[in-house]
Amino acid sequence: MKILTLLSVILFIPSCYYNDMEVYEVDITPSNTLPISITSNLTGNDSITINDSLFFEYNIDYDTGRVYYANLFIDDYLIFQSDSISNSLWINPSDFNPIGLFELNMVVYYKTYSGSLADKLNAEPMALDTTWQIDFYTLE
Amino acid sequence: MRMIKIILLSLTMMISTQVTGQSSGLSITGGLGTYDMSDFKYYHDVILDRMPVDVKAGKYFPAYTNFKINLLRKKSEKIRYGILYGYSTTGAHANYTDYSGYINFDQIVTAHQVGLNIYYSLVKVANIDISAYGDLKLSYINDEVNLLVKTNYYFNNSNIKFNAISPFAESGLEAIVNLKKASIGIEGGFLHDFSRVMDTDDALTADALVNMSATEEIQSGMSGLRVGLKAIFWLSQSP
Repeated sequence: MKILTLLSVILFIPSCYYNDMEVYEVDITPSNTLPISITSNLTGNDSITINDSLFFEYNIDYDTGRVYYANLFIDDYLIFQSDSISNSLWINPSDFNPIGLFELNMVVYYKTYSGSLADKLNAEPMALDTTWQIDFYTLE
Repeated sequence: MRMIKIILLSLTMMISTQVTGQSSGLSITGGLGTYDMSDFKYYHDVILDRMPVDVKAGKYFPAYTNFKINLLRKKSEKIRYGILYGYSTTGAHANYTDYSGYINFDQIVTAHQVGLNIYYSLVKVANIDISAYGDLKLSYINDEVNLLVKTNYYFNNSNIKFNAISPFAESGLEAIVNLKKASIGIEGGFLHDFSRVMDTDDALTADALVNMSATEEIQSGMSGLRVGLKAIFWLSQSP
């Protein structure tokens, strides 16, 4: 009995640590929603048909907000990445040999300024995407 | 340093005496201790001030578990003495939670103590015995500090440890009821921590969300009241 008591006390020792799991939940009400927009030299063109290189120039308007980076895809193929709010490139169809109708898709990741923990740690990117239809064809 | 030498010397002498002969016993005291911990509280606040969001502190080193196991020997009807192992723990917690993630900042302080003690019977009425006691202990104090940050795209778990060896002295009163082969009762007193500077390794916090190093020296400071229920199992009774 004495040994059992002593044993139970010894076994009790490691589990006897201070433990407090209290949670302080904070409701985040975003107070600052800056407008963001993407414009490019293709804006306003519903249908773009090309058989040669395409000059693409974009500008991200996010007031004083921070843009993390922008990705440019042709369908799901990443062709360009930049952390500048304005940039330009030549899209050369022969580099990736697309023929037919494709989507040129730009996705911009920007800071939300929601005030949340993730936002304060620059770990809460919001995405805005814009798409243009492009028809690549070859002259036979 | 002198206090540490005295405790070590006394411990050696106690251990070398026979504790399993006649009139020896084993006592277990379990209860609560309060803790001063003023330097740890200050450190907790300093770290919270460095956080990027408003992390709320919960309880600061509240009264928490304290117990001791004592191998004792009855020298006479008036005097008992023995060696002991003691354990105390407390801590502090702070949290911030929103839809995007959470921060937990925790300190868990534990103190393992070894030492010796003596009881002197003041009043004995029938089978009730009221005694004064004194403990001298050496304590290994360990503070484990943990900062955990978790969001969908950010995760960081940083730890820092503080530790020290500090001499403790405790005195108080014990009231027990003597039964046939055991005694039960209560015990309470005040523990004084002579306080030592806690050592740490700051290198562990290099990648933490915030700098976790202390701006000033942290003293152990575990002084406070101790109360608990007690049971003594007499291994053998005096004839």
